[in-house]
Amino acid sequence: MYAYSTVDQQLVNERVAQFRDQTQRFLKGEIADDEYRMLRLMNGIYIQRHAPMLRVAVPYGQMSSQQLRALAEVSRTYDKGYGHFTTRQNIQFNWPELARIPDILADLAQVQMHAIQTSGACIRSITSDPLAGVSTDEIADSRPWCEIIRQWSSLHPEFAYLPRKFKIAVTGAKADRAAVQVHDIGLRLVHNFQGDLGFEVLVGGGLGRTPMIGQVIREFLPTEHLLSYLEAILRIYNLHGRRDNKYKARIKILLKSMGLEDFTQQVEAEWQVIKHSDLQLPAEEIARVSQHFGKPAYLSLAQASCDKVVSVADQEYQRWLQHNVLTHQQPGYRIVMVPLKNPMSPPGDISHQQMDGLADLAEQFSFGNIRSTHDQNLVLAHVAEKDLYALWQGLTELSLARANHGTLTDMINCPGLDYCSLANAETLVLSRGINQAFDDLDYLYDLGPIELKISGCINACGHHHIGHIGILGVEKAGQQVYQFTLGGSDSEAARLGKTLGRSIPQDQVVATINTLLTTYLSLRHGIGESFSEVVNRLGLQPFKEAVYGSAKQSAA
Amino acid sequence: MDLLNKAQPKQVIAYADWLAAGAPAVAAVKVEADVNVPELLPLASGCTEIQIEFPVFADGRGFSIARLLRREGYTGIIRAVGDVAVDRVAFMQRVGFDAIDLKEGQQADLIPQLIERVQIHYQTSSDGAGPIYTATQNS
Ligand code: SF4
Repeated sequence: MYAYSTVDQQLVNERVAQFRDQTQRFLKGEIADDEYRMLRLMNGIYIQRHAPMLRVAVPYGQMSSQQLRALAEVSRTYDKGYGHFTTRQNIQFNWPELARIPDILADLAQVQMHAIQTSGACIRSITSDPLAGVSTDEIADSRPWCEIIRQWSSLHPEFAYLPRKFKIAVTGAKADRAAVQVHDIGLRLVHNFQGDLGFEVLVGGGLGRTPMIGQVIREFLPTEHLLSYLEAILRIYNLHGRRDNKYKARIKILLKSMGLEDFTQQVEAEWQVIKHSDLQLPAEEIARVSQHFGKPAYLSLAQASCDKVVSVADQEYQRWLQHNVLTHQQPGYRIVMVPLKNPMSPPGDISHQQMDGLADLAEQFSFGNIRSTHDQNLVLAHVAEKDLYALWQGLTELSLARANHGTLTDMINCPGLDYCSLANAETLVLSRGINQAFDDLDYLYDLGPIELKISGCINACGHHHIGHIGILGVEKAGQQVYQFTLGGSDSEAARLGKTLGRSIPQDQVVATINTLLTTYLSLRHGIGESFSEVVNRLGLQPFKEAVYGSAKQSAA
Repeated sequence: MDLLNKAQPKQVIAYADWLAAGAPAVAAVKVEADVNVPELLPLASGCTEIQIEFPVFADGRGFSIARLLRREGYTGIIRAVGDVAVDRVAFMQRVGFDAIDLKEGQQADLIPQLIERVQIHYQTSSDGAGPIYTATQNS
């Protein structure tokens, strides 16, 4: 993991002092509401339905045990004893008191954490592949590049007042576990024909009101030009992005109105001017940052592996092994997914006891490293095979061993009406209902991989457009109803789902999901054909007929 | 506090009028946030001062305009006018503004400490600070 230099630490400390001063002046009435709003937003503070909400950055999803304990402590001392991991790998606290937020930030600064640019119309905290450095499909480790971008984008004087929020994601693997295709800028590490490392650069992806898949504006960007190219894109966006209509202010709209060719040409022209400036990354800087992401001190295969542990005859354990444990780059090691999908609480929620307990387990079994994922789970990324059974027991005690990774109930769900002032719908009621209705793990395994994603409004924080099944809460004549989309995907080739038909009332959502699933089961060519493959093969028609036909019958 | 004490120009011409007059050498030209920057850059050296309008504080185009003027080698005064408040002065100074007309009700005396408060700059900008990795401090 990246460890702060004295300079990095000083910056975070100075930012805490700056925010404390801004907040004190605001509370004394010296900063106007609308101005303070911008200032607090760019430091992660929203004023929500019930209270302020603080979003703390987990840069590219990497945490240490020490940091996770500090987050547990914050939730105990300043909040209600839990935190909520978001779809951008960060963590939110829903109940802090505004006047105490500077103290929270000061506490977090001591463990090298901050809330810089976790919201606001600026370059947001960088997200990445939670399996960076350990996955078997890796081209190169994305984390050094994420850290380099984090530093460049932090308090950038020119890009703090952009037309809209600006999200960057980086992946270094073949599979897209960072949703890079639906970010303002998506970066994929690739090798060119000469074997040099660089980035494929995508621009203009995004969900929300006008969902779009990002387009490639440069197929190969040598790594040393990363920052100059980003700066060129941001400068064109800052000057030309729309400022008159916030729904048309994202870079995807600019790209569309300028056209891919014109946009790319402007970016390239600006880039030519700054390409060989001091933005060109020196090899020493790349090496300096990269050395923080070396391999931990793995045991040898003989020491790490243990057939007996893998074959313990406990059905629950075997299920967990099969579904929540993934193969690892390092022989003798595994990656363990820790789902935060407790049926009784919102997806992504974690209690302070769980945070402390998991921090201990990570220290014992995973080199003190914990990662957060964009589907609101956590990961222990370096577990020796010999420790799997002990880890499973520990996770079971913490209620963090539910073996539903990748299944229907491993869903993404935004907080909705319970917490978010923009919501149309109580999305959490839905997730509870879905968990109750589909609690038979064997049935879930039989259904195979299904990504269910639920958003409480058109802002699409739950990424419903790219769910195999997407659900969007909308309000119609004072009623909460739900729009279904099918066929979305966030895999290597991302796709936006298509609308199934008219909206479904809340009390029929679970029944509708059930209809979709039984329809799928009756249509699939054996267990090897997944839900999304059936939707691709047959389109929406059979599902439409099943849902709207059966709705009519039940009404009759 | 040089930023606040730069003498006001005797005369300020709106950019459109200045262009229409053939971009003569003048004391000061005022540009809006949506100014055509590529058109402005080669003409800028003809005026002693360029004023950049911030229509609302959240509109950040002026930051890039100032940065590009400095990069182009413009050495005259760049003044921020319009919805300008003390909490943005530090960034304004970094991108190349050297004169600030604060909107009403601002506590100008805070400016020195607000500028001092964050001393670490990761990025390169018009203030001559190179990116952090070119500084010797980052070890
Ligand atoms: S999708 Fe809408 S309701 Fe859900 S968190 Fe985002 S803004 Fe709030």
